[in-house]
Amino acid sequence: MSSRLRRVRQGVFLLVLGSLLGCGPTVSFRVQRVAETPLPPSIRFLEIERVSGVSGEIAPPQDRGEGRGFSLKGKATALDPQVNRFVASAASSEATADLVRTAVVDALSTQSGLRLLNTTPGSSWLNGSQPDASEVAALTVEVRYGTAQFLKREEVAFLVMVENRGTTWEQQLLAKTGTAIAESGGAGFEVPVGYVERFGALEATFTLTRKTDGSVLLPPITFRSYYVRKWGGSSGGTHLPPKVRTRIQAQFQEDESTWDALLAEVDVAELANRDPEEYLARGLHLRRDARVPMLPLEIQARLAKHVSRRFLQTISDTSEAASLKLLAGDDVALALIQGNAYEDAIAWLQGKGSRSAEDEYLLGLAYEATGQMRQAGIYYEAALRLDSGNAIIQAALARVR
Amino acid sequence: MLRQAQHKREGAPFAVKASRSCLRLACLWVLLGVAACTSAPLLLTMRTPAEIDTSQIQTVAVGRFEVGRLHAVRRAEREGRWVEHEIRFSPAQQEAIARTVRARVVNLLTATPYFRVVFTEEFERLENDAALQELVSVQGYTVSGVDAVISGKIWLEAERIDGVELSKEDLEYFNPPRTYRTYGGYREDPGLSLNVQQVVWWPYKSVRGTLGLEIKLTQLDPGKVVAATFATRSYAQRIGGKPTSGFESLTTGLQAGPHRAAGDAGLVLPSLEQLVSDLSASIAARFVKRVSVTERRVPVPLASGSNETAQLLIEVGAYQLAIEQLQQSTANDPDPNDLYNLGVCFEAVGDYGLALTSYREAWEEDRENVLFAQGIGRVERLRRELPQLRQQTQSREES
Repeated sequence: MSSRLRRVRQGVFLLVLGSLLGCGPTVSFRVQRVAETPLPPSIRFLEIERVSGVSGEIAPPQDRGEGRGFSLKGKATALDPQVNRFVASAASSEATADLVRTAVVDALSTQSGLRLLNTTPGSSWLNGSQPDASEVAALTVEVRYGTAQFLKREEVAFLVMVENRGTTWEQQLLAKTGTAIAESGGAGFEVPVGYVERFGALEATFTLTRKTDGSVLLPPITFRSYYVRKWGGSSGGTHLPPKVRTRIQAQFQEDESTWDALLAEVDVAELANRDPEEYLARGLHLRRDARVPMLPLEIQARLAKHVSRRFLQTISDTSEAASLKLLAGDDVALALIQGNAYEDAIAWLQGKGSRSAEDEYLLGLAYEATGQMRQAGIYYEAALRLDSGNAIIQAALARVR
Repeated sequence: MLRQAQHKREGAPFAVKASRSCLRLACLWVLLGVAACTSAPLLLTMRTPAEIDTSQIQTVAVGRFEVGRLHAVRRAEREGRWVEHEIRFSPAQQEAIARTVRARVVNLLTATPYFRVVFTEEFERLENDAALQELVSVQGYTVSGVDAVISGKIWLEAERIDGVELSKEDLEYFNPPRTYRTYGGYREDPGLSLNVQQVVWWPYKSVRGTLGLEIKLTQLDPGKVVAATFATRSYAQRIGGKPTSGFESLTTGLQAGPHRAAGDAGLVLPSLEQLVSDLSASIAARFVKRVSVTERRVPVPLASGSNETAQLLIEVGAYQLAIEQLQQSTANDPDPNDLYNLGVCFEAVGDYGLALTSYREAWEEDRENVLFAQGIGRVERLRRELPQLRQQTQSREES
């Protein structure tokens, strides 16, 4: 009976999975992101002046209304010792500063139009690039990194039952639900279980000044990034205040959702067949068992890359891969866009006498895919005038503005 | 103390329920779905321009790969009590690891037809990145004929865990119905069919390794940083432990695909040397893809046209013969599927102008056909990339 219940559950799961994996009307290309605080056009070079680690306290993530919904993860419980503050030591901050430096260099080297004069703070400029100092921005970064790891044990409640397999599956479901609720409430016998909980908080303050006169090009701007995860033990137990953990997971670990992980694995399997070299280059051939605890270096590097990307997005136009939804407009244009024939889609839609809001959106999308952001904005605006409440069009317009 | 599950009890047969077969089927279903969506009878090789233009660089000298951090630890856990043993690396061991990483990067760089790699003591003996920049800035090097220096920095962490985890398992108890004789005659025993839950301890061993690698290509004259990349790769494997369930099982099943295909059953944990080698090879492959023109295989589906002979010719790579066949057949009967397949032939032989014409002719016949639009889209992309590709390859040929 219990196995029948499982089959029903798996059947429902497969139906949901099948509907999600069905080829939906989306198109993938690199979208441009406009700089939040662009540097003056006269600045063409960048020198890394100083990247230093300092001690101090890092503010916890802001409350954005997380944790008010229903959670299947069980009741959050505070484990001893409770860590209420993220305190950065000088040593860990200094070690992380080097990773932030290298992540910034990587971001600038591959996505920014600025030319790097050095990659190590304080080193000489390379001989071929002796520009006018007024064209040089000097970057200073102050890094704080607070981290902790707990390898401990906790008492986990287990409530075991004996089920009569002759009962109906509804009765069994009721019994299982009752057991799960009682267990999460602490009923049953307790068994010591080992766990690993690791977290990190990174705060990086970036400042850009003009090399000649020290005038401020980018006033100190601070980015923070956090990570927390526990392997083993109860899912609800944590050394951080449970609300803080929920905020971190919601704001900084969206990429770790189970659905995303599953869909990513499907993409990986497809890439392995299509482009084995890219598969190797992305490291997708490496085993990545999620049950094995992440290492402190991985957490540090992840946070360093996050703050570096935020810095780059602030000063420079960037591009990123995105999967965008298509609206059901003109069928021919839709087919052309799905086939990545953007120029033909533009020609087709431009030749159309009257265009619906969906058509205007598709036209904007085709322009965006070919990097013509100004034109894309014009047609997204036209689409929004025809359908002002459409969230997809609103998001598209916000993207190109 | 490690306790093992008792799967048998006196007088009653117990067995851990084999409920994972359905999940394996689910994995297979997903894989089949993927295969169905992406079935590609024809793979065309196309060149992609480098993300970072290195067309001015031919000869690369190998510099130092310095060590940022090396940390490895072994841990054991029983009933929540952890024991830790840190592994310390001598300077010679650190140097050996740095050389392994460097060798993997250099190997892949040498494998491309775009770079010539030379080893010179002059750059190898430099202490760090600042020293390299100093040397380049004052042009204090003596080596000639070298365009750039490749150098790097390594961060490595590894952790092995020998632990135990718990899970609640359903054990089946089944006592079949039977009839037995009593003094009053025969009696029926209805039997028992129960699920008895039990907490089971599952021992496991795991390994995780993370490598962070900064790779930098510094041009000598004029001195500039041509490419500087930082990437991390991780390897995480566990053997033993409680059986996976639900989503875990699905993702594990998908992950295991390529490994199983390669004959790796995943029953042995890799050594640190193996980890370093695998992780650095992946980062190096990424770096090489960024700095050199690469070839990618693009799946090009064929249309079911009326000319089956031409389709067969395409599948075996006889594109010129297929072109002749299809040109003849489409001249009399312009079947859009044949026109599309003609476009595929032209694309395969690199005649993108004629390919686009054929794709457009096919599309004119059936404008809502996504396959025909994909043909146009592929050529559009190639034409967008062509000027950059031409510049990168021509400048190498000229020099």
